[in-house]
Amino acid sequence: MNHLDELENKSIYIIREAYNQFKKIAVLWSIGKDSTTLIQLCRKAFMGKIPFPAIHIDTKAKFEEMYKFRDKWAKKWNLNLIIAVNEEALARGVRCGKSNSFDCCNELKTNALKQCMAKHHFKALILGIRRDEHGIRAKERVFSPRDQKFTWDYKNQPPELWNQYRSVSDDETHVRIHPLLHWTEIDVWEYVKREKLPVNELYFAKNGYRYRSLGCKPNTKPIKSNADTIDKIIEEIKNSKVSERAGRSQDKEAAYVMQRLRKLGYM
Amino acid sequence: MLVIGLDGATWDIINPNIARLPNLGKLISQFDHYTISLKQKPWSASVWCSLFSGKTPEEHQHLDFVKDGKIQTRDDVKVEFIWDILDKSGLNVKALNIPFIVPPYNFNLEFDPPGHGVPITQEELNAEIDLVTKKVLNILSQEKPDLLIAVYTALDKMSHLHWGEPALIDYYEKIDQAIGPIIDSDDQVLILSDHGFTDYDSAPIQTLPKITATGNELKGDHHPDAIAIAKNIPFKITQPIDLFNGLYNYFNQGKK
Amino acid sequence: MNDQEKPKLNIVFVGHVDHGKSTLIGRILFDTNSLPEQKISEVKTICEQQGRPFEFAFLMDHMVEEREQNITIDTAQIFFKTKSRDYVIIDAPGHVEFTKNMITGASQAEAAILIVDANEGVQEQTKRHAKFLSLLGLNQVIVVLNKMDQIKYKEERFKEVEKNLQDFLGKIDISPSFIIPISAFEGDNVTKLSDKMPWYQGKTIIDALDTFKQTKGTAEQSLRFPVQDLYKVGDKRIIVGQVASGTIRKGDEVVFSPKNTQSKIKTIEKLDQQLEEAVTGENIGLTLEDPLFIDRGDIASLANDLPKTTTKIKGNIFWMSKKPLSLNDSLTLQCATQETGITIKKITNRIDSSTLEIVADESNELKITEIATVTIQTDNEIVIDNFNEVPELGRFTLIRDGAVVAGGIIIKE
Repeated sequence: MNHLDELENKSIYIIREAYNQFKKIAVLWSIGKDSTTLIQLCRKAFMGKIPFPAIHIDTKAKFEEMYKFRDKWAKKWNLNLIIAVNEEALARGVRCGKSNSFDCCNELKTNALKQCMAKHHFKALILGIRRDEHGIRAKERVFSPRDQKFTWDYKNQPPELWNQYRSVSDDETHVRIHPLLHWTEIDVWEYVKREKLPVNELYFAKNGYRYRSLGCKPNTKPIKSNADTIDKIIEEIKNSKVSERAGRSQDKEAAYVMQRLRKLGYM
Repeated sequence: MLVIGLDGATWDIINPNIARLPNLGKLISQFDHYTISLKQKPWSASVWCSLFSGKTPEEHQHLDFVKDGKIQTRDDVKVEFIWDILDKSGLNVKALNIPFIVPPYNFNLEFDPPGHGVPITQEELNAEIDLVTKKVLNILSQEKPDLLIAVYTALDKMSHLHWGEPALIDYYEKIDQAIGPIIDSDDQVLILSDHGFTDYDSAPIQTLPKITATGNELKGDHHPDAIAIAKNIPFKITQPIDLFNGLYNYFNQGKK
Repeated sequence: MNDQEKPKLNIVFVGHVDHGKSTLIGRILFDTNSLPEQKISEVKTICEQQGRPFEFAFLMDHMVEEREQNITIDTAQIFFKTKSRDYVIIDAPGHVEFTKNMITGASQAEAAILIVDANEGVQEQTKRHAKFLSLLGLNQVIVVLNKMDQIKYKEERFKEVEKNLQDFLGKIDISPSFIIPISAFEGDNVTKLSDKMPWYQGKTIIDALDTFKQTKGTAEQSLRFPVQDLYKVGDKRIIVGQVASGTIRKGDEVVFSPKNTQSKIKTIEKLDQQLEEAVTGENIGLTLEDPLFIDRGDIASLANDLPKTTTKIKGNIFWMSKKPLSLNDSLTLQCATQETGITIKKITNRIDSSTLEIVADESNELKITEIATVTIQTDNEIVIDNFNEVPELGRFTLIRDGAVVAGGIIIKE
């Protein structure tokens, strides 16, 4: 078994465990490359038809191409698609990019999801978060409980051991499951390539720019790039990691500070 | 106006030992003082960031000193701080030793902190009190800044290492002695902390592992109750972002 | 990316940092050329900047730091290679974390190196580390007597300590495969035979390691397939799960334990795929020739190679809950996908995981971050296996009120 097979198998196991424990479950599909990978893994886990809904949180400000993409593939994969929109906030005039970005995300994303979870009584949610995306995410567990306010008590996590993914869920909390936690950005691209998964053309360079990630249109800025194939994208990511580390090891001061932070337990 | 930060200061130490802290004692008996009960997580990097940017952690996204193994710099924190804004409108603002990043940040001045900004030995921890105090007095004697903000950061590490021990009270005493002349030099002084402290096992949050890499055992950890002592300050702080808002409104309406 | 052809062996280094653990690992990394030149210069540069003389131990520190920064990796990924294979050093920062990973089987060590200071000999420290080693149930152990340079490579001292060691280790059921005199600092007997100890005729550490065998669940071992769930896809009933060990083939006669029902494998499937066989680690769907009554938790194996079933288990556990364990507590045990109610009948060898100090020989309770050997009575028959051979069936979690309170490994009775 190669590296991708190992990752894939681990993820499928997690997804099947989650479904076994929580019948009222859904998978979040943001139409990006990570959650599309997740959808593929779910399809594999259930031999084709995913027995629970896929939720797309629509802030009504996504790229036009994404909506077309979504509808096409939801049909092809026979997804039970739920589109979650915070109609009430939109009616109040909350818009992406217009209000300050915190309000926009909170109202149109977080609250939309909260409303959807409440409406359908979902007890668990499967998401495509990877550990290498965000520092704090590094402390995420595969099964991670959220409380009613969707906050996450990061230091008081239930212990998790290898693949005994068990978590408590009562009426007031829901559990988040992260089958892609052990995947890196490069792993996802390699998998997309191997499985020939459909991904939005915005990821590929056009006129010297491409999008590294696809958020809401007003908040997403493209990066300078000429990578117009998956192989070139992977090369680009690898190179940026190398130069990132090269920059670090040249910083003498940072070396001193890092050592000290380690001593105190900050790192 | 002077804003003095004491990282990790708590009423739980100040109140019972007030006899040994005459300068703070004088301030408390004459002016308003209260507790800031944090609703956001009591993590230094993100609270200092909130205090001076007016943004909540969800907004500023600056959650720790280190992200993805990289030490965060001023450029990584995508906000405008109160000093950036007031400076642009022509005021004389200086900020000294602000620990939302390591080494701590300075605005409009030069300062070399002990221990590369991460003091570890008792010598370095004590030295910070002297160096910060000297720098503040130096600035005040040469100019009259409209707003001067300075933070004593080493108290946090002392509290981690020596919670429950006499050494910590001695340290508070040293700080109290040092800030005496500072609080007398301005009509408006605000002293505050970014969070409080309590013993390690009862802390509602664990910011650091109990046993450090050098084998020391930490005695204390952060608590959400922070302090505020307000000498003639025309706004009150209930949550960290209130400091930014208070300063912003005050300075934009002109003085007094 | 990964060189998947070369076999890997996971080893754990046990011993006090003062006895030279970091130096030994650094020395091994260096001598086997397992570190890129760039890394070594990086460490040398940092040492210069800090005004410290370069030491092998810093290579290990640096690797640990690097690994900590690479946040996709949970436990160890420090490699070194010999001519025979790659080795993965299992280690984690912090005593408690390390102990937890070892005792709960999160880190699967297949061999261990116990480091003893030849100067100090068998002291309290060593005894604790050896006891810890015995909790892991490993039978491929190398004991190294380090710092031979500090005792002038004297044979008498080595023989003295060797004897004390063997006496002690015998009592706790460890028979080391090798006992080697070394100096990690000077490099004697680590990768090269020492010319300073002509009286020693045995192997170097590296050669000794190369004699060890891989033991984890592999495709050649007995088939063990724990049923994870049952799906209805169209009008087919598909049994899904992950192959825990061995190989499963279309047409195999399989028995489901502990039920003892039998049938033939009709199909092995994945999405849009029909397979002839599947090996350890693969998640598959199965259909059978006969309509058997199958539950999650049933374990399928070949009819001529049945697993052991039992209602009595002896295991070493790591307690993780703030509320202590008490003798005769009722808990739930989960092993692979099996679940059963249990009672704890005996608690012995109670040890503090951060200091490895013995708390009590026999006890009626266990507190958070402590480890102990427990005797468990299960309400139902369950299938178990040797942790060293089929890890999935050799480790378990204990659950109380729906939350995981302990993890552990099953030890040989």
